[in-house]
Amino acid sequence: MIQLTRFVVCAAALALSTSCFVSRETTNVPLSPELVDQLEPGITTATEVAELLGAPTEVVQLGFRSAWRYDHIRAKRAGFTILVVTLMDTDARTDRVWVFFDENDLLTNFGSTFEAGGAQYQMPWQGRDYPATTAQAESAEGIGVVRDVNPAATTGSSAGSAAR
Amino acid sequence: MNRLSLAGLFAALCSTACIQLQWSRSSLHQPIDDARMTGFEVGTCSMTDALDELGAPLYVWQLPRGHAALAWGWFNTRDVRVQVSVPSNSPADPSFQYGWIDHRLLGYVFVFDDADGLVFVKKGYLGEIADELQRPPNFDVERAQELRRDAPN
Repeated sequence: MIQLTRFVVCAAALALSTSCFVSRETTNVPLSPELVDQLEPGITTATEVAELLGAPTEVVQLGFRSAWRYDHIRAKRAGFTILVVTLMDTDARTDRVWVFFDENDLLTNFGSTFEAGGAQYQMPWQGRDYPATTAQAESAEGIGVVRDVNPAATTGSSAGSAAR
Repeated sequence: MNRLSLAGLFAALCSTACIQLQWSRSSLHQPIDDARMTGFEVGTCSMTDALDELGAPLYVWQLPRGHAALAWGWFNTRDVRVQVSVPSNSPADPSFQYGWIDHRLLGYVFVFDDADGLVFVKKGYLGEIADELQRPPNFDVERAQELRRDAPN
């Protein structure tokens, strides 16, 4: 009877001392790939981009040119605690769109990345799942290597090619 | 249950607030596979090519002489630590806010000239590379050439 009591007390204490949690944090509203698909370098103007995507989060001046940033951040956190041991995992990913304009506010380039939907609730020992196009590259090999510098290069970029 | 057992149990319960063994993993953004970086050659690659292959950068900033820097990066860490305090936050808080460059981010910085041609690319910690480029508005091509000469082969 005494052993059973001990077992019950210990089990209750363990149960009460265990906690788990999940949380999700988002910044800005999600971006729509369908709207981004409507952007046409060489045709779309800054005014049209603003009408399509709204006000940008950031505007960067690049000489007489400019670049606008749109983003949506999603972070998922999960973990649990058993007595003094805590396991926690956080995965934060973003949707991003950068649009580049020339001195006449005409779209020259844009780049878009849609990763936010892939953020996951996981435990630290689980493998991170990424789309096949971007395998994990956690290795720090190659850090600090300047591959080339050629300030004289003047390769032009095509304003007529969509950058997605 | 004797008093010693009760005291041990009480101590264990109380200690959860001040002693923690924490195993955590934090990641920000999706890593870029090195295999995707093979096609970027100075003199032939354009901003369009980079945006097409790598998607939207994390940071864009202006450099002198019409140059523009674009940076892609990510952060991925695992951490095991004993924490003797009241836990209030992750040891490697991955909350991300755009602002100036996050120094924890590993990634690539590309520099394009005023014709959007690639003139410089480097892998490393984005903050350190930005420092090497002497951050806007002090970047100049002479400094970039010095970096190239000093770099290991």
